[in-house]
Amino acid sequence: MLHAIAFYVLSFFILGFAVLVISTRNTVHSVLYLVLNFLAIAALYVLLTAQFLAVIQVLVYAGGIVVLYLFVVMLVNLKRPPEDHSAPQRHAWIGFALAGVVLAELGGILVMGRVAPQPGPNMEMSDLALHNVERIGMLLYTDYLIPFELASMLLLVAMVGAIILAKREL
Amino acid sequence: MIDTYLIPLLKILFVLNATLIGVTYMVLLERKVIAWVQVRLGPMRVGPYGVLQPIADAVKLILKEDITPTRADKWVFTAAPIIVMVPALITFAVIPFGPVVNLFGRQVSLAITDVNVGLLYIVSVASIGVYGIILGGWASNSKFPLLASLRASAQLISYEVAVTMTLVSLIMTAGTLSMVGIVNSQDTHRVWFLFVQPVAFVLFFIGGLAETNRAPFDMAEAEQELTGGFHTEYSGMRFALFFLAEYANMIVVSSVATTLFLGGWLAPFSHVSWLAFLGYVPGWIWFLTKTFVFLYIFLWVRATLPRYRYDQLMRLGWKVLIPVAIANVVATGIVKVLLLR
Amino acid sequence: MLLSAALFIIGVTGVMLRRNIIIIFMSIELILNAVNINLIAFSYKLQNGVGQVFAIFVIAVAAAEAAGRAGYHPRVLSQ
Repeated sequence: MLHAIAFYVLSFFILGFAVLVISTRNTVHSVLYLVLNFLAIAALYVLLTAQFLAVIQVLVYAGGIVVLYLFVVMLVNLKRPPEDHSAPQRHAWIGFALAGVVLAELGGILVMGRVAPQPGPNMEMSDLALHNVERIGMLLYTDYLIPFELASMLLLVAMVGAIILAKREL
Repeated sequence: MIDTYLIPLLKILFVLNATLIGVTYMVLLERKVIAWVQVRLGPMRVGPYGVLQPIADAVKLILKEDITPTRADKWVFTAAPIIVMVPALITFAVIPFGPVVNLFGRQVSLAITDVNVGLLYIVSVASIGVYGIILGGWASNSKFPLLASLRASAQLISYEVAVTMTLVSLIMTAGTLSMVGIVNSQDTHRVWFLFVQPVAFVLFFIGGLAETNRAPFDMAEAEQELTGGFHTEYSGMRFALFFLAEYANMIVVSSVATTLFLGGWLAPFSHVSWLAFLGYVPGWIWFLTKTFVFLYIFLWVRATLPRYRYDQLMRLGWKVLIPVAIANVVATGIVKVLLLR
Repeated sequence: MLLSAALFIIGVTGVMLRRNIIIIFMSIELILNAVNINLIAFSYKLQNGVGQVFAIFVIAVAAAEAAGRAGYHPRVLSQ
């Protein structure tokens, strides 16, 4: 019961902040709403007993990526719209169509599978919930070792690339 | 029912109050210690030996006029000091102050809660604290604070990486992310992690100094630099919040270092039988003592070392601390694998 | 699941309708997070750790992308 209330309250905040992100005039405020959005999502992850991911979300997403955005926003005051972006009104319908397809799919799954936003199978903490870090660690290093290494390489490449890009303009 | 709600609530109230009082008296402690190092007496007028000085400071700051710069972003301007203070305070939710004690017939553990990702929680909360500094500089709508805040936040995020890498090797040693688990692990290994991971200890301490903007890394707030840094435009209670948040951060780093390296609430030599009388001192007194030692070292360092220049600071963080931290992780891994045979 | 779909839609709307490039990037982040929420929800429901592992990779990829973008910006906007 409390679980469901918390879920709905959090969902309200998540969606609310997301709407605010794309609708605020002020770019800095938009970034701040994004941070609040991520924090609410992290809280949701805790509710869904994915504690490790919740903390990673705060650490990497809210604490790292958005700080990057904030730097970019502050150092470069983007007042003029970029020239290479085509007029949005003509192509918006593609995006809406795609979103509609996604919604239809999910609705279909809901109806046919009768999956509803209820609390999980049993309310007692399962093994995955209690030993969250250990289980994820085991999975990462045994079954999913290759994607793990690939992700590390990806991050390395991104780091080096970012440095090269930034250096060349000095 | 009572157990799940009332007891944590009482614990939270207690810890918050203790922290806030501690933070206010840190102000006095700092001035006293630095004064003694410099062979003078520090605040002596207010109260006996200057003990009531923080109260005088608090009254002064509260009564000051609360200026908001024109064309400053009001919401962000108000929120920035709060964003710096809150992460410092909520870190205390996972720090274990003592073992499980028997209060009024209930088993009460002297930590507000034990999250199974406690250490990572602390690091992530620290990375939220960076926002307050960036926003403080931005919301002031004036050039000096903005530049200073960007420099300070760059310093913070650089050292965040170094500190996180250091903590990785510590996690490998302890085998768990939960703070209570780390203290218990030091208990079962019968040795404080200070002796197992001396390199990590030094790295963590230096990183902690840089993370809290303390000397010798206090470029961001030194009075001679950029006219006062990112809190130039703040006056009265808002400035007080920034100021106190810095001390709260210091206490947080000291508490975390105590838990990780000095064995939290464990008495020293707890497994040597003829020193067992040390076990009669309650755990939380040991914890406070060790944290106090750390705080004293913080103040001692401030009184002694000259300030780093900004580029020297960044060079130290990226070119020295991070490679050493990574080497430490590798070394820890090798030792652990060898020991498992 | 409905939540992640709603978030996804909001993100797509943001990408389509705002011309400010920063906000477009942030909407992309919203979309990525919507996907993550979906993954975690399924992981919770099925009590399987795979969803969380995949979500970690999604976050890593998003971080790499943001880093690359941050390196790109000073160059583009200095012209």
